[in-house]
Amino acid sequence: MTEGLAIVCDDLHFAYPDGHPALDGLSLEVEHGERVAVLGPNGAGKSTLTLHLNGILEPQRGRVEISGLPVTRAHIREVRRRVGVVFQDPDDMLFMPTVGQDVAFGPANFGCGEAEVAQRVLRALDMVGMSSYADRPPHHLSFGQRKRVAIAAVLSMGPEILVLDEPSSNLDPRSRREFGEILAKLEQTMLLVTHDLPYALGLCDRAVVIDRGRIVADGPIRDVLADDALLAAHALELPAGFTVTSFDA
Amino acid sequence: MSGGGGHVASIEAAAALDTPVHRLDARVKILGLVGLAIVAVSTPVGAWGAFAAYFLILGALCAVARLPARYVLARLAIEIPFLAAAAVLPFVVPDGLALALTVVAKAATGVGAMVVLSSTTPFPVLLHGFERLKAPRLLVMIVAFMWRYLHVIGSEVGRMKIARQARGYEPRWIWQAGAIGQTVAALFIRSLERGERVYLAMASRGYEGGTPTALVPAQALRAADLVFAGALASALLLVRLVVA
Repeated sequence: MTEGLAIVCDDLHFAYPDGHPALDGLSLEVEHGERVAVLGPNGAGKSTLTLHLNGILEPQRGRVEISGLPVTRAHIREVRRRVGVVFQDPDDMLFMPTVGQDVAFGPANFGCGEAEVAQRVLRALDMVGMSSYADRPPHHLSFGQRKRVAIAAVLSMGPEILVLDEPSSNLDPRSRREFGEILAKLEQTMLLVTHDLPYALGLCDRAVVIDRGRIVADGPIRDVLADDALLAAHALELPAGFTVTSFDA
Repeated sequence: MSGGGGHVASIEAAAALDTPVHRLDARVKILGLVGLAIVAVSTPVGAWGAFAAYFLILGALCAVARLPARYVLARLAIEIPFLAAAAVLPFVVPDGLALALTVVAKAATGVGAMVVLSSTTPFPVLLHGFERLKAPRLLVMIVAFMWRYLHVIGSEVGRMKIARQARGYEPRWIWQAGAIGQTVAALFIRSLERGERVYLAMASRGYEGGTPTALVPAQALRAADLVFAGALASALLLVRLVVA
C-alpha cells in the first residue's frame, strides 16, 4: 500500500528529554515529485519532523518510510543518501576548507570513487551557478552564495527527496528570488519548511499545517492560505495586503 | 570577514600569490621545512655558520616567494615572549651568552620555517598535504574545523561586541575584562550548540566517523618538487657535516 509513496509518516510520537512532546501522532504521506510546504508556528514540531525523515531522530512510536524503505538503523545509510536535508544556517553545513571539498563530502561518504565524486561536485555546483567557486573557502562567500553551496552539497548525493529548512530566511530579495528559481528547476520530491508563505505559494502545490506535533490542515496550498481562520488559529500570517487570489503562480 | 584578525587575512593574502615556492607540492614543503626546523634544533650550541646557512636558506625562500621582509619579521615577533626566558641565561649559567644566542637562532629558524610554509601554501592545500602524508585524520580534521569556524566565531564575537556597544557599554582597557569573560561564556555555549548542529548536518550527509578516501585524491610529485627536496636535503646535510 505504501510502495508508490515518497514519504510515509505514520502516527509519529516523539518527546524531547525534558518531556516536551514535539510530535504527537503525526501522519503524513507525500507522493513522488510532490512539492509540499510544511507550515506552522515556532515550536510546532516542524524541525523535529525534518530530523525524523533521515533518521537523525528515531520515533518513539510510529514509523517512517522513504520510498518504501523503513527508516531504521539497518537502512540509515541508504535513507540518508535518498533524503537530502538542507539546514537553515549554511555555516552549520559547510565545514570543509573549500567549497568543492564540502560538496564532495556527501558522495564520498556514500562510497563514490574519486572520478565519480569529482563529476558530481561539478554537476551540483553547476546547478546552483557556483562552479567557479570550487576552490574558495566558504568564508569568502556571501550568505546567499553559501546557501546555494549548501544545497549543492546535498544535490551531489543524488537525493530523491529534498527537505529544506527555512530556505528563504536571511536572504536579500534578489538572493531569495534566485534561490527560489534554483529550487523551482529541481525535480526532486520537496518538503519546504517555512514561515515565508508567499515563497511557499510560489513553489508548492500542497501545504500541510503542523501545530502541537500533529497535522491540523492538509490540502492545495491556495486553499490552505485562503483560509483566514485556519491561519489565524496557528499563528500564520500573510504579508499585509497579500491575497492568494492576487498571486499568479 | 571581520574578527578573525588581520593576521589571518594577511597570511591568506600572502598564500594566494603564485611563485615557484607557492607552486611546490604541499607535502614537499611540509617535510622540507619541518626537516629544516628539526635540523636547526639538533644543531650544537655556537655553530654560527650552520645557523647562518639556515637563515640564508629561509631568506632565499622568502625572496623567491616574494614575502616582504616586514611581513616576515612581524610574524617572527610571535617568539619574543619565549625569548624572554632565554634573556636571563647569560646571567645564570657559564657560557650563557652563547647559549642564549643559540636559543634565539633555533627559535627564529623554526618559526621562520613555519612562516614560509604557512605563507606560501593556502590553508586547505596545507591540510590536504598533511592528509596525504598520512597525518592522523582526527588531528587534521580538528585543525580544519578550527580554521573554518575561526571565521564564523570571529564574526560572532564582532557582532556581540557591537551589540554591547550599541547599548552604551564602552569601557576602556582592563575594565573590559568582565565583559570579555561573559562573552567567552556566551561564546562557549553558542559554539557548543553550533557544534551539535554541524554534527547533525554531517550525519545527514552520511558521516560515520571517518574521512572518506575519495576526499584525498593522490597527486604525483613534479620535477620541481623533487629538485627542491633534493637541494634542501643535501644543503642541510652539507651544513651539518661541514660546519657542526
